[in-house]
Amino acid sequence: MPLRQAPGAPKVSVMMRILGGCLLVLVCAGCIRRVDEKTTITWWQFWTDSRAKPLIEELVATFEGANPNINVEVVDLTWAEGHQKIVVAFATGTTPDVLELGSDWVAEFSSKGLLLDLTAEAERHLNQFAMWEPVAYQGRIYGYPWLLGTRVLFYNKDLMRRAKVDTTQPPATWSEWLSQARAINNLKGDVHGFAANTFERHRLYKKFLPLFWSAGGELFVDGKCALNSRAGLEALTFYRELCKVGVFDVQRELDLAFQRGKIGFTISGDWLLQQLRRDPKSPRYGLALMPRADTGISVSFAGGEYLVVPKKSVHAQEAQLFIDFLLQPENNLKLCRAIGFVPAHTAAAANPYFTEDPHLNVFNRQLESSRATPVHPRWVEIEEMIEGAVERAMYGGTSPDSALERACSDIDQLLSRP
Amino acid sequence: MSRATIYLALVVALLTMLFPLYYLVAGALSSAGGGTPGTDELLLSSPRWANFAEVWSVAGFPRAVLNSVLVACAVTLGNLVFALMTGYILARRRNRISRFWSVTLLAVMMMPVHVLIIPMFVEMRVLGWIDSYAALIVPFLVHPIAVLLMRQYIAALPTELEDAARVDGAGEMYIVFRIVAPLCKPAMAVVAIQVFLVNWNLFLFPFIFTTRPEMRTLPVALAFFQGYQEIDWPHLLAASTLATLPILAVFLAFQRQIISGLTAGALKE
Amino acid sequence: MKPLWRRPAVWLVAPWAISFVAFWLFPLGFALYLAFTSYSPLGGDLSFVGPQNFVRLWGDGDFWQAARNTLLFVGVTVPVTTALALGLALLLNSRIRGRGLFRAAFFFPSITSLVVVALVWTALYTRDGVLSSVAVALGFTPPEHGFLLSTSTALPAIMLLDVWAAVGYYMLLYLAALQALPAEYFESARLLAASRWQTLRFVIWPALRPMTLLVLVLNTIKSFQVFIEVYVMTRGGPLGSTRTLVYFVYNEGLVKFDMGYASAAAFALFALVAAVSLVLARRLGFGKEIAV
Repeated sequence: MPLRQAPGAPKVSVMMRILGGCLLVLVCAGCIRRVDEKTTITWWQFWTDSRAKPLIEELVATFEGANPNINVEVVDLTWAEGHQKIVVAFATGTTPDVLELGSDWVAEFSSKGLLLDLTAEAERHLNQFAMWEPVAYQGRIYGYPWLLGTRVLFYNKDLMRRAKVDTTQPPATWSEWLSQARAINNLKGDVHGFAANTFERHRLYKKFLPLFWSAGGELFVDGKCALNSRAGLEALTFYRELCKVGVFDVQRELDLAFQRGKIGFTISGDWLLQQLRRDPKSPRYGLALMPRADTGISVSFAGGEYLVVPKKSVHAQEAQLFIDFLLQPENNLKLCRAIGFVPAHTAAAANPYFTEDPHLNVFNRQLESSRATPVHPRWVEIEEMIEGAVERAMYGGTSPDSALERACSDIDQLLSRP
Repeated sequence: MSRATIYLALVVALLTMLFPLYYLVAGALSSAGGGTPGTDELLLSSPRWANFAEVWSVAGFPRAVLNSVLVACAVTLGNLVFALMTGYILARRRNRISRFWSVTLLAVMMMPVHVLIIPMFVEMRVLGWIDSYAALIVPFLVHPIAVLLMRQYIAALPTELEDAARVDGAGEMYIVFRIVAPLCKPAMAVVAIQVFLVNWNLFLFPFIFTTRPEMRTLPVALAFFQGYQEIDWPHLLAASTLATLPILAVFLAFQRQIISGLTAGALKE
Repeated sequence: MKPLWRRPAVWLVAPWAISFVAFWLFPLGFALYLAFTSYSPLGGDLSFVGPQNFVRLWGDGDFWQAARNTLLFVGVTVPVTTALALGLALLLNSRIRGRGLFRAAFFFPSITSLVVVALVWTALYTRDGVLSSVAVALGFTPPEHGFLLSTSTALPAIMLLDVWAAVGYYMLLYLAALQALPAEYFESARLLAASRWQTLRFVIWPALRPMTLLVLVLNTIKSFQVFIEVYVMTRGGPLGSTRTLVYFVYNEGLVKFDMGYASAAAFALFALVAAVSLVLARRLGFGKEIAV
């Protein structure tokens, strides 16, 4: 077949076609992003489970109805990946307009100037909310308290009864706790005395620090790590013994196992209560304040969710409007009734719903003796070292005091880095 | 070894190799609300086909499927064009420059990619390509294996037609796309399938280049599904099964091409 | 001389050249540069610190643990995978029926996504999962916290699934090499009344040397980069027993955003892989690579 083509011309046209195609791909690739019509603000939040989601959507819909020119795009975060995703967002400049941060995480970003200074607006509300410490940094305020939570002791009455333990007397001290857990663990069948967290980040320290504080420990003394004090050793030794009569797993599996009646004692939060209430097949259970060290007081971990506005947000005003909406007592209360947390809004928290419910009241009472972790920009790394120490002791390969020594030297080293 | 022993060994190996895949499907069909599917579910006593349908309403799954399809197709098409171009020039021009580029192909293939994850992340950030299709497509448009396959195939083609065309005055581009390309269809099939398979399963770079759930490809989305409270094991396994179906389809339809593609570069003559 | 942009050869090789420079060469150079800096995209500051990252790496227990785990991983999975791949290929090379079916079944796992594989095996390995039941049935006591949460079994568990996922691909390579062997090899062996074992050892094995080298090198390079299973199944735990070098790089660079340090670690790994690959190639008596 003869080929009739003029030299040069086809070369250019084919080449141009290819180039054009490539350019088209690139341009389209870069362009396929969201296109904003009205003002759209993005909100990153952690309430993704089936109980909370409808309520979140309802709240958003109500807000959008009252503010027709604002569109709220909700992005879900999971506790497992959330922190890292947030860090990446700050690192890539792709932060949302409103962001939910755990209480321990705020300092990391506020200390680097990545959050909008909200002092002026917040000062008007200072008396209406509890627990401002985590969002305060060097005298300025960088966020609002939204939801508060703590950890309490859940106990399985059925298992206690089987182990011949008096179910009206949940353990109040560590020695009682250990012996009851041991008794349950010795029962026949697939039952364990205690639920021991492992593998996941951001969980274990909330179970261990209350014990540490109850024994009288302080994390930092004179700017240096004091985890390896007598209190630390006492707490970790006790925790290790407790884990020996327990089962190791991730939070979700542990909660499920408790729900199925396989675990005697677990330290958990409001969500487990909601889970148990929804399941007609849950075992008989009770809630109690955290047992205290034999010579200490009952302490627990106070955490909460805070709403912040990243500095890079171009819709700060709309963001503030949305936050104001979420923080209104009736909205705060509505959400908490679904998810079980306590509103940070003091008036909402005094609602009879919380004070008259015997189980929810335990949370309220525990909150009175709960402590928050120190506000420190490097808290997340410190926390990882604490959890590392506890895990090493838990698994039995390291003695509690060498685990704590190592954690302290790591933490001191971390703190000395610029 | 007697034939019987060989068969026995093969059957044992077969069962071992296929068991996890059987578990995948059996688990995908098990009833929701449990922990991991156990030995009972293996018996498929009460398969729950609804799981497969329910998975589609999991936030992010349909979008992840769309992303994977889009990206894999774009990368495959791109490779077909660019591997043809590069393969042709490396096959036909045997000079120092073309040998240099051939060596670069080998270097890229042999080198562990992890060294690149950090700088590529920074590069994508600087380009503004994080969470964009560009990051998922552009770096993968020219795959060394594709180029090598095309080069090998073209090198074996007789050059008469090209020489004749050149004498008639045709330009190189015309020769590549109008003369050589139609002759390369078998090789292109192999390349297309290879690239599609590799890209469909790609995890590391899509994982690093995306932060938003709606930009994830299937493997990345599946990895994250594990952390979602509301997705239990049967649904997770159902999603994994659905993600594997295209691979199975391509495999069953194009087994020969896949195998020849994989072994072609490896065998020396 | 025609100017560069008028030469079709330049346009033909341009896509690869651009891709190579933009997505391989430049990042590689940048990674090398980063290894000598302290850089965190969060704060945005980049400062040159010389060899400080490497000094810090030298004293970092986590890094050495990652190195040990990775070497252990490679040292076990590569020989095992290679041996099994060869074994299966030899079995398939005999005159049997249904070879296509067996071949397909053995090969399929190696083209499924490693994420899917990791998820399936996570389910298999749970404390009350199928493999625990199998272990009990065989008379073993499963590890105290489940295969993936016990320090002694987590890494071996990952090794097992990695072998399972990889063997099919290398089997295919061996099979192709076996089938490419000239029939005379087997003829002369039969004429000399060599036993199966002798045939294998003195005829087949030496003839397969090039393929063995290829399989070992490919396998080694890939195994050094083990990451997906670790990320999906164990996140480096328990107690860092499954922390591999790539996971370490990822954790330092993209979780803690200490990118200079992570780059230094990445290069340390790169050097390690290159060294091992070269030693391998040398020991198997080959200075050449695949013919270009």
